[in-house]
Amino acid sequence: MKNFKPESKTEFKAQLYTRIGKLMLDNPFIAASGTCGYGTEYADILPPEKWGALVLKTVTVKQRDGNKPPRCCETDSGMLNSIGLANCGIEQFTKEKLPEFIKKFPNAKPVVSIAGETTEEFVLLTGKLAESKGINAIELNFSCPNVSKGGIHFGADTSSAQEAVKECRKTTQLPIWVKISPTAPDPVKIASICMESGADAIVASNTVPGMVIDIWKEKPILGNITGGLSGPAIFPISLRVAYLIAKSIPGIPLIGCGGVSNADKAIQFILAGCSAVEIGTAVFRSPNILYKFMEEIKSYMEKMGYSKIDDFKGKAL
Amino acid sequence: MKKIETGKLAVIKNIANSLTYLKIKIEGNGENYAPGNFITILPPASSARFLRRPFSVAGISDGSIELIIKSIGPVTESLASLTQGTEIEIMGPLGNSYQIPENIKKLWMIGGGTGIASILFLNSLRSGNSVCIDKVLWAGKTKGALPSMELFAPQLEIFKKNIAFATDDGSAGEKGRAPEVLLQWLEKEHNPDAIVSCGPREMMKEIKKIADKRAIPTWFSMEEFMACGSGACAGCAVPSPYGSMCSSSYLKVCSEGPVFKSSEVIL
Ligand SMILES: Cc1cc2nc3c(=O)[nH]c(=O)nc-3n(C[C@H](O)[C@H](O)[C@H](O)COP(=O)(O)OP(=O)(O)OC[C@H]3O[C@@H](n4cnc5c(N)ncnc54)[C@H](O)[C@@H]3O)c2cc1C
Ligand SMILES: Cc1cc2nc3c(=O)[nH]c(=O)nc-3n(C[C@H](O)[C@H](O)[C@H](O)COP(=O)(O)O)c2cc1C
Ligand code: FES
Repeated sequence: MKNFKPESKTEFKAQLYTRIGKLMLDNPFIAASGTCGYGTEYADILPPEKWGALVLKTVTVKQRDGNKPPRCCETDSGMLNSIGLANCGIEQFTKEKLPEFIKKFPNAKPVVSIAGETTEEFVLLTGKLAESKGINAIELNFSCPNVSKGGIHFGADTSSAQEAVKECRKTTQLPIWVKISPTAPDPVKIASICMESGADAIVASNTVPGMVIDIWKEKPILGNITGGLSGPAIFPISLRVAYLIAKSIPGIPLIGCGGVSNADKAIQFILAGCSAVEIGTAVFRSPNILYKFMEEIKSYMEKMGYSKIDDFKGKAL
Repeated sequence: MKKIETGKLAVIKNIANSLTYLKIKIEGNGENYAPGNFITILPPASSARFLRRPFSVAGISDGSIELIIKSIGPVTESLASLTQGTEIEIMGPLGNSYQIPENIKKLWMIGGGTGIASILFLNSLRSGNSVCIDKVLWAGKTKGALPSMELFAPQLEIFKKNIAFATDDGSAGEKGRAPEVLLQWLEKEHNPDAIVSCGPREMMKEIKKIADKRAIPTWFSMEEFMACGSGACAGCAVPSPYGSMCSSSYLKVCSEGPVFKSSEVIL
């Protein structure tokens, strides 16, 4: 006979679901763009539908080959990358990559990241995606230069950001997330302008610019000389950006990103007002790390007596 | 299908200066591993490093993965100081494998430094085939960089009799760098049906020149820094004259390689 244990009244179960604007996710852990490819690469190790959502590799209007190698290297507590937005371009993405992923993993929640060099390119990309099925949100990668404004990053210039979000908003019904750069002179201002212009959530934030030199070859290690720093090293920087935004704009749908390597860091982002977190570099280290995050966050919630993410969201503000 | 598993260090031996042989016991018998494949290892805590490190599989025996690792930095150094019985988290098998057509009976395999690893695996599988008249060249800078065959060949299955050594200074084996020794071999013997090689870029570049001149089909196993090892990040790009579906000028070493036909890559 099976050992039958009746459910006691005090039995406690932490629920991990979370809401980002209109979008409900089963859990607050999202694979960050550029680190989970087109969704299928790690499927042997971790079924992609386990993620709350997956932000696929940033796609651009044309195929991009990316930067000169070497493109990555490890640094203390993190890594530098200068991939250079290598991607297959929107045509192949919408015709092959995305439908393939959705067909194979119909229960996964793909988010599509896009980057343009002008507002028109952002609009064109958003328009192309409007014809695709199965997308849960569009993430605007604002760490890219606006060539029509002399190369200043979309995320560093309020008027570029405002225009791009406004025009994309007119083109799609899908939730729009804006991923800002931690180097924006005033991230709070950018976040509020994006929200006023029709964004549904802010992702705070992206990699931090950096470089390293090989002392024996006496030259920079990256082929591109500089790259973006990610991993545990940038966590306090990203947390600050998220915290400042959440503090200044109460109730803003916010996603933390940068340096999350264990559930502790994810919980810190949530306490700072985020509804979810994106995870990148830590997935390279452990492609199955999500299981550990889920266990650890549940254990925290049970210890603290929280039954859902909303119970402790923003508590440190 | 790749997986993450925790293996146990069954054998660890220092076989030359900064060169360590490791045998990691895994679940099952490793039958899904082929020569050319690599694994990534989660850095031991003592290395204080974050990203997994790629290593070619040098052989599979007794349900264990064999590796040959050169200590050049924090992770390789801490791997070399592990003791038998230590648990090691690996992900594999990763990458493609050598696809040597059946009609290739005379294959010359040239490894520079730890580039020898995948070649030893390929050689041990082909050595069972009596029609193959293969040769292996293991090149190193000086004597200290190469293992002593007398000491290790009887103990370790992967060291077969057809392995020749060469050093830049002639302190062990033939004198000369790998491309020079290849030229000497070509003077003495008929061309091989094909060449495979893995090692420093400069070495492979010279070998490509020599092989192209004589129209000898050649495959290279490439190395590049890797972040994901699974085709997800595009971090391990090598230049290519025609690229692949997603890129017109690069290939990904971890998923489209590490083994490439010599015409596929620009060295
Ligand atoms: C497919 C593949 C197979 C490999 N097989 C073997 C093997 O069988 N045996 C072996 O000893 N090594 C092998 N390597 C190289 C090995 O991965 C590196 O030596 C290791 O990552 C170094 O780690 P570390 O922390 O000790 O040193 P780090 O401090 O990370 O590196 C030390 C130096 O080596 C350079 N380096 C680091 N990683 C690489 C790399 N992947 N390719 C080229 N240079 C690098 C760094 O730029 C630095 O200058 C392989 C690499 C690849 C990509
Ligand atoms: C190799 C690599 C490629 C990346 N590519 C992209 C990209 O295409 N688009 C994007 O918005 N962010 C990209 N990022 C940034 C990550 O999505 C993430 O914002 C950043 O790495 C910080 O998070 P982490 O510390 O958890 O990695 C990339 C990061 C890495 C390491
Ligand atoms: S290492 Fe990430 S694609 Fe090759």
